[in-house]
Amino acid sequence: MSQRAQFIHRMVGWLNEEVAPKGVHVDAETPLFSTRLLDSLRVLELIAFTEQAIGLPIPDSHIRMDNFQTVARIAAVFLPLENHVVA
Amino acid sequence: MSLLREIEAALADLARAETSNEWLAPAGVSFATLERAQYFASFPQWLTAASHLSGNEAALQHIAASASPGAAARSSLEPADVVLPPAVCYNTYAAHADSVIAAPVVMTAQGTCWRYEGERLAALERGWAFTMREIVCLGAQHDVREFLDRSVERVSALERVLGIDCEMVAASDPFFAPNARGRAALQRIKGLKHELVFRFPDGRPLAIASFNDHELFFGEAFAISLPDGSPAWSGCVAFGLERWLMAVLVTHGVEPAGWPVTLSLNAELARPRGTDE
Repeated sequence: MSQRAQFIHRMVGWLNEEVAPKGVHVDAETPLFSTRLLDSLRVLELIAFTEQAIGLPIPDSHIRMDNFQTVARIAAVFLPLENHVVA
Repeated sequence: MSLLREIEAALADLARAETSNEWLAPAGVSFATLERAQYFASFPQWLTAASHLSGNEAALQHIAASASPGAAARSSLEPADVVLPPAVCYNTYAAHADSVIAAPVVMTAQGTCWRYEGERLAALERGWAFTMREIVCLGAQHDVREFLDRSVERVSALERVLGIDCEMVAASDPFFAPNARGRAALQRIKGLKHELVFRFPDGRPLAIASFNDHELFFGEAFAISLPDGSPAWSGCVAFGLERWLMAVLVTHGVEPAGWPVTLSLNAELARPRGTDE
């Protein structure tokens, strides 16, 4: 499994186990911000989760909707070619 | 002063193109209203309140007879009863609290606002007291989104008329810690706040207008409902008049001869771009 696939697997698992309310299932393509899935505390956890995975802090300028729309999008932006971050 | 009045008139015209519902902004806002707006968890660092002296005659005589009556009065102030508004819009939400709005509500008001920013205070750029024009929209999500889109177009047109060069940027509010980064991140990711930014010749930014999508925050906080019972969406556009003045002066200089021929709103501003016949 590639690093990106692992990241998606772990983040989707975390969202379903720790964040999503009962009866709500999150997958890699679920829009994360069109509902109230993530509040201001959870969004920090999401960012921290991503930072931990890539081993780098994410600058505020990269914290925007087109980078964080879905888990798949986060992975594509921040883990584009394994360890190369191009956001 | 005449230039500031011209800018004031231009922004008032811009607001009137959106709504004829103009309010007189109250000089104060209650602690209860700000509490309901969760202000004390958002921007308490700015709070400026109004106090008064007691009606106790002996105390007043003591102050009047004091060698330093100003200092004596200062030390005799009662606890503050009212807050000097940090923004115009809080009172508009309070005015619609616990009600159902049958149709979208768009209103505008101009008032003096107060934000204490300590060492960051700077004349015209960041005054403790400054003048704010706001346009507020309450309604369904699409009403607010369309209002914000129209406002961006209208403000861009005004920017062109005034000949000032600005850019629209994604922004976030300077929330009070401890959850400041999370709230700001959520605001940025969801694209809820944009600012029209003027740049000084040295590149320093100056936000002269902000476009804010509050989603359901104030609708829920103030129990403002739509006819179907769901909470209202809200959004606002805010202008700092002294900052517009600064942008015009920096761009065109302090001599009136260099200012744009007319700063009064022309027909172009009365309608968003793209609607020309």
